[in-house]
Parts: sequence; C-alpha cells; structure tokens
Amino acid sequence: MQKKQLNSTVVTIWFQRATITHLILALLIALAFLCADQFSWYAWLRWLLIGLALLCLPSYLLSCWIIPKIRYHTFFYTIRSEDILIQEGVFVVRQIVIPFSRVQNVSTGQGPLLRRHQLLSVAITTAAGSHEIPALDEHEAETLRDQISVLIKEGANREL
Amino acid sequence: MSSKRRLHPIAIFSEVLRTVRQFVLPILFGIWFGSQHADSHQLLLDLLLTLVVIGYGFLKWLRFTYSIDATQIHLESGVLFRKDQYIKKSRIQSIQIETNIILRLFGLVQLKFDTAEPAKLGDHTLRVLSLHEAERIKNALGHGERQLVESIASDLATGQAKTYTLSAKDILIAGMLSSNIGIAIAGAFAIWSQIADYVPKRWLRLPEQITRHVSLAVWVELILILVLIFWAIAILTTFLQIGGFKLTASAAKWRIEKGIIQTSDKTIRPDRIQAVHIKEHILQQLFGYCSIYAECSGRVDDPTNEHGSVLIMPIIKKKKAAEWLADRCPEFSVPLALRPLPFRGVLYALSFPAIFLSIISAALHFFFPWGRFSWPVVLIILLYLSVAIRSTGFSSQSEKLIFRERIIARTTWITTKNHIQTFIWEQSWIQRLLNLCSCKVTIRAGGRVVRQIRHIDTHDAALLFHWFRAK
Repeated sequence: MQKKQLNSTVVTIWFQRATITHLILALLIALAFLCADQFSWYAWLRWLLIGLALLCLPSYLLSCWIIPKIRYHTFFYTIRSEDILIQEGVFVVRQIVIPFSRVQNVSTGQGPLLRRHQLLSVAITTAAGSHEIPALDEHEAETLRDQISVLIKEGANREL
Repeated sequence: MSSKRRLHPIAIFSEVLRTVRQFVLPILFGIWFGSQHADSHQLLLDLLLTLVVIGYGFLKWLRFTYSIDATQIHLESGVLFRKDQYIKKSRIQSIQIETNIILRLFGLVQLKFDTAEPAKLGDHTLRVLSLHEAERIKNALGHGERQLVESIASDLATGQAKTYTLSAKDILIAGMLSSNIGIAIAGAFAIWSQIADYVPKRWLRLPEQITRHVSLAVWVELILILVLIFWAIAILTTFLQIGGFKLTASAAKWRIEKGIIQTSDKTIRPDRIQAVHIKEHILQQLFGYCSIYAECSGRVDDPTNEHGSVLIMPIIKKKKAAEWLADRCPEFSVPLALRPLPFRGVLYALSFPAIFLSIISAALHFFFPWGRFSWPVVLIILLYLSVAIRSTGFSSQSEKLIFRERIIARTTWITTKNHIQTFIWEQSWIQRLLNLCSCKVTIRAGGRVVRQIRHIDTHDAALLFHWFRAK
C-alpha cells in the first residue's frame, strides 16, 4: 500500500498557527502584567506572570521549530480495500484503523490559514468520534473524500 | 396512517414563555428604559413587541406539524428557517414521556425521542401533548409499553422467549458477596461523625470502662457482631436493589425488571448490544461469582444511565457465565483465557504512580515530622496497584476481543470485531525502547466508549492489529 504524506506546506501553517497563538498569549500576559502593575494586585501574581512569560519562550521554540517537523515526518495515511490507516503523533506515535464500513461521513474543512495555501483538512467520522487529516492540497483532499464516500456506499453500513 | 397533527394549543403559551425567558434581560432593560421616557409611542412599541412575541409563538405552533406513517415520522417546523425532517422508526432508540411544572398545571406532557446520532443532533422533542396523544404516538412508533409487553407475552406463550429470575438463595449470595458491605461501613462512619457530638460524654466512656474488664474473646465477639450487622445491612440493600429481578428475553427485545422499593423496568434490543462486561467484586471473585452487564448503543429508557450499561445478570457462578452468554447472546460467549502483561510492562505501568507518590511522600517527609509515616502508605498503594495491573489481560479469539482491567472490581470486557468502530495502537518513545505498545478500541454505546490495554508486548499488539485488519 502506498503511504501518503501531508502537503509539506503544513509545516509552515503549523508554524504560523503557533506564532499566532503565542502572540495572543504574550499579549494577554503583557496586559495582565500591566494591570497587576497599575492597580497593584498581589505581588505573587506578578511573579506568576513573569514565570508564565518565561515558559512561553521555550514553548514557542518547541511548537514552532521542532514539533511541526516531527509531526510532519510521523504522519502518513494509506487506503486499503477495507480500511484507512492513519499514523500520527509527536511523542506518542499512534496508528488508527478505520474500516470503511464504520464510516458515517467524510467532510472537508478549510480555515483562513489553509485557504491561503489552497489546502483542505479531511475529517472522517464514525459513530464513535472523528479523526482528521490536517492538510492536503485541494485536489488530493477532494479525491480522497470522494474515494472514501464511494467506498462507504459499497461496504454495507451496519445499522447501529 | 395519520394526517398532519399539531401540538396542543397550550404550546403557544409555553413557546411565549420560552421566548420571554430567553429575552428576559433585554425586556427588563426595555421596561426600565421605557419607564424613563414613558409616552404613548413607548406604549405602542411595547404593545407591538408583545404582539410580535405572541404572533411568533402562534406561527411556530402553526408551522410545527408531525405525522406518522408506517415506516417513519415526519416533522415540519420553523417560521423563518423551515425544517423538514423524516426520521425512520427503526432509527429511534428510545422514547420518553416527561412533564414539568408548567405542563403539569394543564395535565399535559412532552415526548422526547432520540436516534443513534450524537446527543445534540439526535434529540427530538414534541413539546406539548395531551397524555393520551403522547401514548398514541409512543404506540405508533412501536415503543408503546402495552405493545411491547404484549409482544413479549405472546413470545413467552409460544415459547420463543425465556425468563430468568433469581432464587432466594441467589439473592442471598449476591447480598453476602456484594460491595454494599463497604458502603454500609462507610455510611456508618459518616453517620457516626455527624452524631458523635450529640452523644453524652459518659456513654463514650462506657465501652472503655467495660473493656477494661473483659477478655480478648469478648472483643472478638463484639467485632464479629458488628461485622454481622453490617453484613445484614448489605444483604438488605442488595435485596432492595435486585429483588424481583426478572429478565424476559425474546429474539427481538429484552425486558429487565428489578428492585423492590425503587423499581426499574428497562427494555433493550439485543441486536443493539455492542459489548458485554463481566464484573467481579473482590468478595465475588474469592467465591467464584460474577455479574454480567450489557453495553447498548443508543440510550436505554433511563436518562441516568449515560453509558448504556445495563445489568443483565446480577449474580452467576463464573464458570457458568460463558454458558449463560452462549444461551442468550452467543455473539459474546467466549472462554476467558487471557494473556497477561509482560513483566516489564507491569514495571513500566507502576513507574508513573511510583514516581508521583514518591515525590509527594518526600515532600511530606521534608516538611512535616509525621511525613515519614507516609512511606508505608505509598508501599501499600504500590503493592495494591501491582496486583491490579497484574490482573489486566487481553485476548482475541476468532471474531471476539477481550480486555480485562481492575480498579477495585475486576472487569472483563468482551466485544466483537464488527462492533469496533476504530482501532488505535500507539507507542511512546520510552515504550519503543522497552518494546511495549498500547492498544485502544472505540465502540459506540450510549456515548463513545474507549477501552484500552496498556503496555503489552509490541509483537502481541501487532497480532491484535492484524486481527482487526484481517477480513
């Protein structure tokens, strides 16, 4: 079976996503610190905020430079005749098997960051939760979605 | 079978109430604001608003229709955004007739039914109905009490259904082995802690004065009597819980009745059973008994039971459990031969609580003089955990999968390949070094149920993985 990876632009997208969340976090911490300073809240609160700000730095480095690359390299999916296999994870690598006969629906989604790079995410839903392939290029995602929805129809869907 | 019908007209009233409740803050604000500038225009505006709210309620009532035919129920609703829903009868999992304070004033009820979809999407409510109409709908949807009882009764008459009841001896054994004794003791302590303050002081000194003069034998007797009292309480509570247990099983439906004071009456569809678990409390395990539960998809007619677990056999000899299952749901009957975790898996599983508890205990030791006494406690907890972890196990036999785990009671969980929604195996970096793996399976029973077995040998995990993927 052919192993397919995510679109490699996903590393950039995760980078941007992490940057945005960390920027917002930094702003919030700065704001809280300013308030604590101006309105002379508890002193320990300031130290807590400084601690948080210091933690932000390694967390930013980790989630921007290291985790996206590992995540990209561990991720793959392959389609067999009866099921789809997804491997994902950073520190814990997991392989998920979803038989097509259990799939209830497949959907694609696109946020602003994905749209800028013409990428789509694909979510596969079973009766017990959903699993996501975070970023494929639009053509591949649509092919995958259609492929799975055809396979669902072929496999007799057991009524719960 | 039936034409379009509307809800009871009181629905307009209850709809208006609901709207008002939703907009109660803006309305209060409006009234306050209005009182500042009270003039004829404001009054007109208020009147208009009231009319709009009532008119909307009326339109909503007018638009909401339902009709039931042979296979499905058709709901039409919505004033601005119109909605048309067809729901297959066979998809309906359960029907509940409820009432609330306002409805009770008018002697009305509401009817809820749900489908296998996730809870938010799958819930449908017919808000205001007369009790008679609600019963009619329930019957028409094939969940009517009378219809069900009749169908089971006719199955019984033709010998297609079987009943299982417990003998007095069974209930006695269940009571003696139940975990209720622990609850009874805990309850006694709780009550004592509440009333200790009100007991006269010299009563408290009484046992001290007596015991000064009594021998060890009397002490032993006293303790024995106390244990017997707790035991009697436990047996009584068990009797109240499972007394009158009766399982009536036909091919299509099972009816389970139990309880003396608070009775419960549930119906489940055996083809909806996704998994079965066999639970052994410590006392039960010592004497070779167990109880059996079924996990059903969709909600059982019991809103308190979120995970769809239903007690289907309160007490049975463990040796006979497989036989009983073979008789009733052969799909889940399997010899309980399990593979345990490898020794390094047990050690690895123990390492997390060991590190965590050691840190806490070290901190206690450092800061408090009594802290060093926490070490024996840590040791005892770890010993118990090691016993608990050693009783976990797994096996896959033809189409069936068995996972076993223990927190306090030992639980053996049996499902089959075609009920498993997804299979996940995972490995952390440390697990890879130790050649260990964890496996998770998810099934749908009530909600999403995840069962996992952690730290098994990678080779065994691979076998499970291929077992699931093979056709």
